[in-house]
Amino acid sequence: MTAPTGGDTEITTSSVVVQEKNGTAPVLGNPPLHQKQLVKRQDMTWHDHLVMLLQLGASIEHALMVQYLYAAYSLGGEQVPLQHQPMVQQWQETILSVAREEMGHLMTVQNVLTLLGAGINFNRENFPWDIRYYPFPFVLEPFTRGSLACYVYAEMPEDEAFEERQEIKTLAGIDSGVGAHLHTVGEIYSDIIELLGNPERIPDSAFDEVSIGMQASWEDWGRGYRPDPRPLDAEGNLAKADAEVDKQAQFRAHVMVDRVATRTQALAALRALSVQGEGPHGTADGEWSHFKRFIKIFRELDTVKVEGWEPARPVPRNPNTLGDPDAPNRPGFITSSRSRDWAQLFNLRYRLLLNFLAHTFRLARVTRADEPSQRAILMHRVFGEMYNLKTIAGILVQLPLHDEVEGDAARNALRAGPPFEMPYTMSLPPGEADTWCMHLDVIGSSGSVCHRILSKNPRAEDRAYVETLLNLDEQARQIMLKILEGLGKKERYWR
Amino acid sequence: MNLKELRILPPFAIGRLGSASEPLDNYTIEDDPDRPLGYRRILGAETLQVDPQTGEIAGSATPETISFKRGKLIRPVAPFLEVFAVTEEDKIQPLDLDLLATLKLGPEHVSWSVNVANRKVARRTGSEEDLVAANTGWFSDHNVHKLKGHCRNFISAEACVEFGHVRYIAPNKKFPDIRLRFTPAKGLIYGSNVTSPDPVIPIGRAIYDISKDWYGFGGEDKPVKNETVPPSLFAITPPAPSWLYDNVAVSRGYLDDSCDGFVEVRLTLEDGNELKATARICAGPPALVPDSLFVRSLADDLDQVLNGPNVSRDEPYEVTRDRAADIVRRAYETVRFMNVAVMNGNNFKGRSALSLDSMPEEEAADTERAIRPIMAPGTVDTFAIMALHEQVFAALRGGAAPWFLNLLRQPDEVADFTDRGRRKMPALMCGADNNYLALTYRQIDTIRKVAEQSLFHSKAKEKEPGPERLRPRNLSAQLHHEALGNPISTRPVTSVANCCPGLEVDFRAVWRRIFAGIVLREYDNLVVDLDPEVTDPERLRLKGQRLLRVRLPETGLEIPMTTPIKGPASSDPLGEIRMTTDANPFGLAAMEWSNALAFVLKEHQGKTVLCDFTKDLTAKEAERQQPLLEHPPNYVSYEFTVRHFFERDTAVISRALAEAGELTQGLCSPWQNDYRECSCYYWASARPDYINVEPGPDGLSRGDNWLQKKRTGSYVPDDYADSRLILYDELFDDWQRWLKFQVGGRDVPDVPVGGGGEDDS
Repeated sequence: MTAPTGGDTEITTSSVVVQEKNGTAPVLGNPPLHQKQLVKRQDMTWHDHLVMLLQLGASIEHALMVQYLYAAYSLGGEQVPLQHQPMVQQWQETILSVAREEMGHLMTVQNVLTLLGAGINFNRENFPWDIRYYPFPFVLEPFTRGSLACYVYAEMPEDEAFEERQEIKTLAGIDSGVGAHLHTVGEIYSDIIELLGNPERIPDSAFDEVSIGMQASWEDWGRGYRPDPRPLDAEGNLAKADAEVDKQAQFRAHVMVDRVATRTQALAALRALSVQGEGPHGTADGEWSHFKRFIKIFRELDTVKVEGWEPARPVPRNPNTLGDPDAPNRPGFITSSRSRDWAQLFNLRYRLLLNFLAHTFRLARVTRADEPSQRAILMHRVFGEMYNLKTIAGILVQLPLHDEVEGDAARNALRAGPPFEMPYTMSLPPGEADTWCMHLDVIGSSGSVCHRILSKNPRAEDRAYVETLLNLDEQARQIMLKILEGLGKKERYWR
Repeated sequence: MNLKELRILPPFAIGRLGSASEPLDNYTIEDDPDRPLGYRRILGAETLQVDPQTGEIAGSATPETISFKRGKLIRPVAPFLEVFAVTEEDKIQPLDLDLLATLKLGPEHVSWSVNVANRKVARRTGSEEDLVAANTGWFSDHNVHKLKGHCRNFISAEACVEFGHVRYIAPNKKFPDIRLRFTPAKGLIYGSNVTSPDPVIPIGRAIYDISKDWYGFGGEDKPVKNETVPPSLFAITPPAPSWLYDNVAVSRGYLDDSCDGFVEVRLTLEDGNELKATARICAGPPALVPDSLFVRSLADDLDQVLNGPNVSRDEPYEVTRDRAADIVRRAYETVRFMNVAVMNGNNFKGRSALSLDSMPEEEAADTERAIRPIMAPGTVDTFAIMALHEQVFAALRGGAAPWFLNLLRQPDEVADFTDRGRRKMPALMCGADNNYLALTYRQIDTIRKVAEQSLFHSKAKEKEPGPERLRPRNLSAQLHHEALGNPISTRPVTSVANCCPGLEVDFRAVWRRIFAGIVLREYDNLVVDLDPEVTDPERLRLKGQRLLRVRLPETGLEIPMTTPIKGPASSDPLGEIRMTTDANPFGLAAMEWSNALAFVLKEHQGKTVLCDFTKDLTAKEAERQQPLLEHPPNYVSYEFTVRHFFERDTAVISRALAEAGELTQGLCSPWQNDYRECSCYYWASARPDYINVEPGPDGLSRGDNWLQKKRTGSYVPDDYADSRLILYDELFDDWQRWLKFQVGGRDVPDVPVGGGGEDDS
């Protein structure tokens, strides 16, 4: 694999990818002279290529979000000295705020896909299509200087000079194991924006403005995560005396879920994501970009003497539930059966989240936005599953990875961690009734795991959570059964 | 043994009205271990059976089930008040026959005095002649002492409102403790001696003299001078909310038999010295949803007074965490009784939200903000929103750090009517200031503390917290004391605190005299009176001025008494403007006292603070909120002493803060009016909106409006005029029929007594 060199581009990832130099676009004619040189496969249209890039973009956003969440969940523990706890908590809040914003990016990219009449994508990897853009190989890692360097690198602005630039690159290369073959998120967005902005390659007719009604919105998904309203005077001008930047707001999540009806809006939305990610100085409103927030943590980490304590719990790389000896990431296999139950529960709830999310997009095509609908039920359940993931992750990072370690050694032994294992499929069944049945199936599986956990004498707090979750699922089940009944179907046998 | 002091516990007991002859059995509520998210289970508890002849407790029994009614009549809740002695060893123990004997005393050396009042009419007319008061004088016998409320403006000296009765329970061997029982009234409505018969008031209860101020109050010849908030909370002609009739509200001259006041006990020692103690009682409507608790209860507000707005860093993590989870639990217990789509301001069944009652509609009326739904209309369904709250509860139970601090409404954000402000939690509900409800500072800090600590907390250290011990100085334990025989509905935890005006008490009234020397209006910062001992001519000029700010000397903390009213800029969805109207040109809202003064009470009770007032406002100017300006200062400053909230070393709300009748004077007259007029966005778990709720074939919720006369499963939205809903006069006439108890979210059916299906009394 060869990194692009700029100017006239080279063939990049495989023999089937060919360059298209200025003036060689087969159908749409010459791009403007200022245009960045883009390449595409010969067997794809530019529209197809754009859709592919957006799908890759969605995968990257999803993957980054999950990796950030894992790092954030690893933070904390009794070993953190009291005087450093506020800082470690601030780190976690910062990383979680970035992860929330990545969710906004993910949704906005789905909106652009919808605008282009393309399918949405909640997968995390698109091998081998993503090789040229993937920032670094997907790995769940605890919060360390090395993993942080990867995140800084991924969100790094292309041209910004900063003191640690080379150190970050080296550290990230070592940590990720790919050396110099790292990419920033900005690279793919740069190509997407370039192509999307080219009316000769992507004509106006490619945009389905009516699709805006089916797109995700901040109203639905933003959960209040955006800056406070701007104070205006009676004439509608900014009331400057009150318009000082709220210092805390710099670090607060600003979840951008933009609906887009036109090329201009789509470009503006993607540029905004880009600035939020790797803008060297943050947004015009004073919010800090992901890069700026991460580099701040990187620097703070350097100023803190961490001898004798770690800001994160000893969680493994890539924890997983796959017992097959041939499975990858074998060292992260959670051998403790008690912990593995929780990890499986985590995976099932992750699966529910993704399924519910995908289902909301489908229902958006057939439901009205001005009255409650099944889409509302699912949307809130998506958030509910996020809360479940947060809770179960918090439990997992306190449970052992292996059971055999006992006594004092157990105190410092590896903990388990949330595995974030993708389900075997992200496809929804084509029919509504079958889709609800699928939700019921997964809830049923979750119930089985819950009962397994309860049978192994969990801690009181964990028991309370599982019992409450079972109660919640039973309520959800009753509602879904009613929906099935309304569709003229019954629950299928799922055991 | 020598005694130092006496206490009456609980220091504040709530009686609840009802016409059945037999008081409600004792019960408590607890979580259902099989359904952690389900309704709380109602459990019968030891119920004391008072012998009507002797006044002794003849025995006790624990009922298997709780019947809230006898036939068609509601059973009153009649609390016991127990006497405790503080010994010289600084221990607290029940005053009983044995202890009396060691002091060479008997039960006859104990005397009681009870005085209660209903000042609702006096609050509105401003005339002390309208005070309805009852006083038993001191008694030591065990007879029933009726609480007969007399009033100078009644038609005769004999005419009275019966506030119920009290009885000194005769101690015996099996139940030797000294206690008194307060049995509240029947929930009757009294009226004026009109010439043509009133459709609701029988002649025997037409006792108010129509020539006096209350009858026709609000009419042209009897104008309103010192309006309450909300205004016109009384039975009017025509029987409808005044806003449907150009805000004209003319009083029918109705009074109710609710009250509040004091119980005093006196023990005359062998040497002739006396020990005394006091407690407060009140009588309000039944707890009609006995298995749910409100998200912010009176107990939360009292807890803040007792323990301050911040949670101690020394409080065990598990205790704080459980309290945080309980707040969330109470939030969903509240949400589940709300038709969220309607309360959100959605159009409903093709009808415009403009014509339906909801918090957005209320807010629009107050601020002239265009009425708009709070949340995106497509996202709100009761089940969906409730499930989300329940999921938060589950997460907290599982040890997750609360992540939603930014979504909690701060007490100074209650008048933020931007979408961002309106969507903060608790949502869709009204607070004591008639704006959006905020939790207490202490509740918010409880959640904050858990958020800060859970990341570093180890579950291995988990310990179950023990119960609070009753000690002379443990005021919290005293406040929440569970007297034998008292149902949970006698305790502040079952009383709503978003008191606008309130239900059992109007808690806003407690703060009126918090600064010694001045009297403030219960709902805003206007100085309405000065204490007689204030003679300084400069201070006397404060009457009619507004308190703008309180400054705390040691910390330099400055506490504004108002907060800006913000709203959306109609030209810019991401912009906000100060919302002003002709009536409120500076766009300011008064902060509710309970939160605004929390930091004042924390360390300054009995000490002086600096209070900044407007100066030289005309009466017309004083009608409006005023801004505080520094350049040049538009205020005058005086030092005032902050009164102690509780009587010394007790958890009894100080008499200096509120006399008998003042805790209920801002409530509706009659209280039944409140159930018709104030919709559930004030107090959803006490006055439910949405009941019999179940999923429909689309998975969305469907159910009945609690005030629907006929249960159909199809919610009737409230427009105050729909004849399918219970109307004012129907409620006045037969409230015990119409206000249905809810258990498990369902109507509790009336069970006939004997063969006749009528009351047993």
